[in-house]
Amino acid sequence: MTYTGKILRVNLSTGKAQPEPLNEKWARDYLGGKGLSIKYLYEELEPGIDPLSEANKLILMTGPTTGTIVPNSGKLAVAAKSPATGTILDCSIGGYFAPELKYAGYDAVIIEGKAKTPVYLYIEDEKVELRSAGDLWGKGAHETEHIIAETLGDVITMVIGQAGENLLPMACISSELYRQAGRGGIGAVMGSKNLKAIAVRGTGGIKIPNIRKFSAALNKIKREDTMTDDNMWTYSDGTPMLVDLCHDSGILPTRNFQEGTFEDYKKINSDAVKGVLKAKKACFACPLGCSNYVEKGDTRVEGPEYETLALCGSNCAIGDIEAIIEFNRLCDDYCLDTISAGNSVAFAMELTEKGIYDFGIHFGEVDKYLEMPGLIARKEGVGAELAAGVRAMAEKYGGMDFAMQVKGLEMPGYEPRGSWAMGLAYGTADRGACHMRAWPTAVEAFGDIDPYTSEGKAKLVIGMQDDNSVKFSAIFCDFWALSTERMAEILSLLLEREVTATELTTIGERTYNLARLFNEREGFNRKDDYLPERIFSEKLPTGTTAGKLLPREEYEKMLTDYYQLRGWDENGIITEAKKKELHL
Amino acid sequence: MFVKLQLKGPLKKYGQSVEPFDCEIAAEPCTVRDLLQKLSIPTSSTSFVLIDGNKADLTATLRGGEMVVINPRVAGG
Repeated sequence: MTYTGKILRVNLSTGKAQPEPLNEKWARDYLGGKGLSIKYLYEELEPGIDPLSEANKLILMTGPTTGTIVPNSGKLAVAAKSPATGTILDCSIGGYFAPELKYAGYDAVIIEGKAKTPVYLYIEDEKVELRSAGDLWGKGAHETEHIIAETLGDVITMVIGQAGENLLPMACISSELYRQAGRGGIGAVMGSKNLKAIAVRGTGGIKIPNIRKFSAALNKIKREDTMTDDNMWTYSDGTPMLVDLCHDSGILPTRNFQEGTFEDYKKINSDAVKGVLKAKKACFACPLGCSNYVEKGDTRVEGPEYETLALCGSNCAIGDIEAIIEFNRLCDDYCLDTISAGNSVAFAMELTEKGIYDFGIHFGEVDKYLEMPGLIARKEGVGAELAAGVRAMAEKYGGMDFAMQVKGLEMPGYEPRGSWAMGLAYGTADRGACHMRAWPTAVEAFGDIDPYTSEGKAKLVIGMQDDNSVKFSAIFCDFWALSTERMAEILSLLLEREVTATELTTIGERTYNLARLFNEREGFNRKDDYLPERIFSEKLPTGTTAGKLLPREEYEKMLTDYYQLRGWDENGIITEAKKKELHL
Repeated sequence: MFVKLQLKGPLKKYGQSVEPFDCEIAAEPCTVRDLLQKLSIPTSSTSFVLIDGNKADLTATLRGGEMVVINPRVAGG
């Protein structure tokens, strides 16, 4: 068994930290990562709590693959109730934090309460300390990590910047300078607890049941299933490759989703990123190495990833790769989610150009665009308005029909009018508009499935959501396109029991339903599963999607099909029969 | 007959170091699928194809002189 069997529970209000046994039944039912962290939150959070109150909890959860040499197993789930949406929220962060935590002897850390003054949590095996972060408060992520490294030496850290301190709903958590748990305001949960950082050092290891058999199997799997064309696009280009694919498919968000193609897309595509590429980087145990480490002058980032190129590039009509890299660096340092920040800036640009409210910034204005991350993170001037996210901006100033969000979470970089199932995936994602729960764009806009039909889309999206749920629970990175059969083969080697693909599919379905149940308890139902009006009523003007929209009646049909196939009622409420079937 | 060919991402290994490059194709009828076969590119490794900037499928016929872009299959997001 590759669980440590131990969870560290830290109460910031009392200052006490205590190890406790992992709930083995829950670990069997939900594996780890996404599923297990949602289970703990569902059981331990009172319904209706303020996500920014001390009643919320922050969970860092590993999985049974964490810390092993299983390819693409280096991610950590970070979960809480979302300050941006009020839904369940689980994020995924790469790098080296997750294995380090496992080597320190813990499957998870549960952080409760609120410290009276800023602190950071230091974990070194059994030694757990809360240290003053008074001198770190107010500093950006990069400086904070450097200071902690100077103080503690060889540790891996997760930190927040000014955005988290100021409780922004788009505040993320950063680790190892360039990696983020990005969405839903997870950084604001840390900020609300006066928790500036978490540093971990682990000196232990993990016992693999039969290392000889395990190594032989993994070598074969890597050869046959990992280092293949399907996956190697992440190494050859990484996500910037999607700029060309999305532009050519007419789904590249441009000028706040007013268009699906961008005239300057070649200035921000993979070739443009390669022009400043210094090195490829990888997370722990990853043979793919998707990350592009770029350098331009004094600016260094890992990225920009596709979502940043799209939402902070074409969506703001910025066709300047250097400007996007600088915007990316600023967001990383302040700890702003680039998807939400890019959306807010683009929304402000459209509101300004339409004369609805003058935020003083127009599409393509690089100088003002580069001022925005700082203004947002510090809540200064117009930044204080943008910091609230597009839904809150629309509630105050108007433009709700083109505030591109679902449940309060800003939309990622795949235009649903050219990928109808992606629209359904956004509408039914557990944390609001999210591309990580299902990404049918790959088979619709880029593949053989007709993007402009509602037929079969509910089944497609459900299959992907359940697969990803188990994938993010096990834990495997999204960029390894592996089957549930392959997951079962690997987990059987690690868990000393036969794990079947059928069992994993059930765990995926159970996890997705539990997330829905959490949201149901918070009052979410069908009314919350809709897209912005622009998607239903405005035709795209250019490219292969010219003249396309997603008719509302077709969306209603997909949603109804989806609920029926899920075993939910017509209002999107999980039926008692489905709860019983999944042992919820 | 020749087409100008550009292979994206990991598919570059099936082509030449400088892209786009001229690729000879058989006399008509030659489809995109034929072109992939000639270059030993598995269809399972590809996503959509562009011919002169327009999306096309594997059955599209090539007549020579076109600019053809082959995109790889992608997963994740």
